[in-house]
Amino acid sequence: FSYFLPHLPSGWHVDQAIRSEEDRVVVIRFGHDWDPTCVQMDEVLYKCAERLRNFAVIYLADTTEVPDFNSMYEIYDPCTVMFFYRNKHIMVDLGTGNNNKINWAIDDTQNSLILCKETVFQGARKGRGLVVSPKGNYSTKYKY
Amino acid sequence: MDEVDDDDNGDIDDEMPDLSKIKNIGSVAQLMSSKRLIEIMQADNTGPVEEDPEYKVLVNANNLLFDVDSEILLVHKFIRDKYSFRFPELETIVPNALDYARVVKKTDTPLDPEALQVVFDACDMALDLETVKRTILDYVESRMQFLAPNLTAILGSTVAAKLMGAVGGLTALRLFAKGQVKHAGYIYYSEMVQMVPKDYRNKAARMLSAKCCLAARLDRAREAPDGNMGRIWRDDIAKKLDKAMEPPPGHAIKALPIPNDGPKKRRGGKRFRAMKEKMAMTEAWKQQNRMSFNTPEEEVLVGDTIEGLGMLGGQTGKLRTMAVDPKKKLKMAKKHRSYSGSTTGTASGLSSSLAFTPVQGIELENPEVLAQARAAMKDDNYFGGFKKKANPASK
Repeated sequence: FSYFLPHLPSGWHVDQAIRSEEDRVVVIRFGHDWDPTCVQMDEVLYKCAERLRNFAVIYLADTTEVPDFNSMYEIYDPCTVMFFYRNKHIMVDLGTGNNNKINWAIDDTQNSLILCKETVFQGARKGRGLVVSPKGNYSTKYKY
Repeated sequence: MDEVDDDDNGDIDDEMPDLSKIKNIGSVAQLMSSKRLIEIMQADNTGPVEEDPEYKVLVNANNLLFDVDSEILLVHKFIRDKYSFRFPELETIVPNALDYARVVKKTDTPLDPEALQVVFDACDMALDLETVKRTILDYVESRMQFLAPNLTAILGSTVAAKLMGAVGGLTALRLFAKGQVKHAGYIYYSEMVQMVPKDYRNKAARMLSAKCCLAARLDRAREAPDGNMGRIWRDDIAKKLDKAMEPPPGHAIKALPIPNDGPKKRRGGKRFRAMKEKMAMTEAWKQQNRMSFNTPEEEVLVGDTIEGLGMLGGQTGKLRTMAVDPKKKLKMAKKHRSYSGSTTGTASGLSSSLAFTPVQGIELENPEVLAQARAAMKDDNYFGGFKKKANPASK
């Protein structure tokens, strides 16, 4: 599913992507297209991309191609998803301890990711820098 | 007609016997020299056109076409049987009957000259039949175009001619009601219907027959002589069939609308203000939130947590407490208040909810029992009290 979503080939592109959107949340997935976590994440992202196209846009960035943000955003996991609105990074309280990003393959059963993005959008619109995830917390995200 | 050979087989028209023994093509394929064909080929040059005799000729010509076709096949078989001695694979290489005849004619085969001549004759006959067929076709087309232009525009000349022949002319055709045109008849096997996939054939046949009836009426009345109405209808039917065969539109994923609850609806009014006052930050609370410098905070136990009092501390020992505004007091909702005061936690329905204390002691009086007791006390004698009962037996 990585081939359905647009890729950002360089740091400049990422920068432009974040700045150019005035009305929509920019969701960027940092990782590699071949990584299994990213593959899963991409599938989920693609499926909700169509439905969210009015208020969110999704991009993919390869961390080897674009290493500029690795230290700035501390991208050390195989798959990282971050939200930006009007050139500002939006934090989401998911209960995992790390509010800056989603760094596991979230699945969209019960539309949790869609709701999450909606909340990000609404909160960011109001000027909030931190938004609370509506579907509770993901501290037990690992299924046993 | 021509010389009949001794080796001639009996039923020629019904089966396709082995024709290799037959020496002369003329004995087998007799159509070429038949009266019918000659008549018709001559009829091409008839002069003025009248409807009824003209169409009869047309119909006959049309039917002849079919016979010509089968005749060509017969001749082809003849040639094949003779020729397969020399060149058996030719028939797989050149499947078409006419091309086969042409190839055979051109090749230089070392057969004995007699046999060769026979074969050549057969080839010639095949090619002649082909010319006959072509002539007839052209004739039918042109005459049909003249006679019934709209019908030919819709159906094509051969089918139109067949239909007219079967039904008995334009006059008869127009008398047919729309639905009566045969279900699996000429129209069904016409080109337009056959080209359409199976499921839609009935629909196509119905549409076609309806238009044909209209066309026949037009032609009978000699209106639209250039056949343009027929063409228009044909296009219409083609369009409708195309539309019917279109695949249904797929489901588009509906994008969610931009989540925008709009500006919050803030209300005013006395009730709302009262509510707000209850929830508002009171002065006492504000004092509690602040602390004084360099003095330890007083703390109280609230439930199982410890709360600090901030600037409110140091009130123990004071005679006067802070004034409490009754408006700002939190009250319990009406439905949560019960009339009987506080309820005990007992779930049993047998125990009373009134508290019995040894000091007060509550006595409940049953009024009926009370009345009976009073009545009983009236009858009571001071000295013992044998009550005289009235003996029902005594009089």
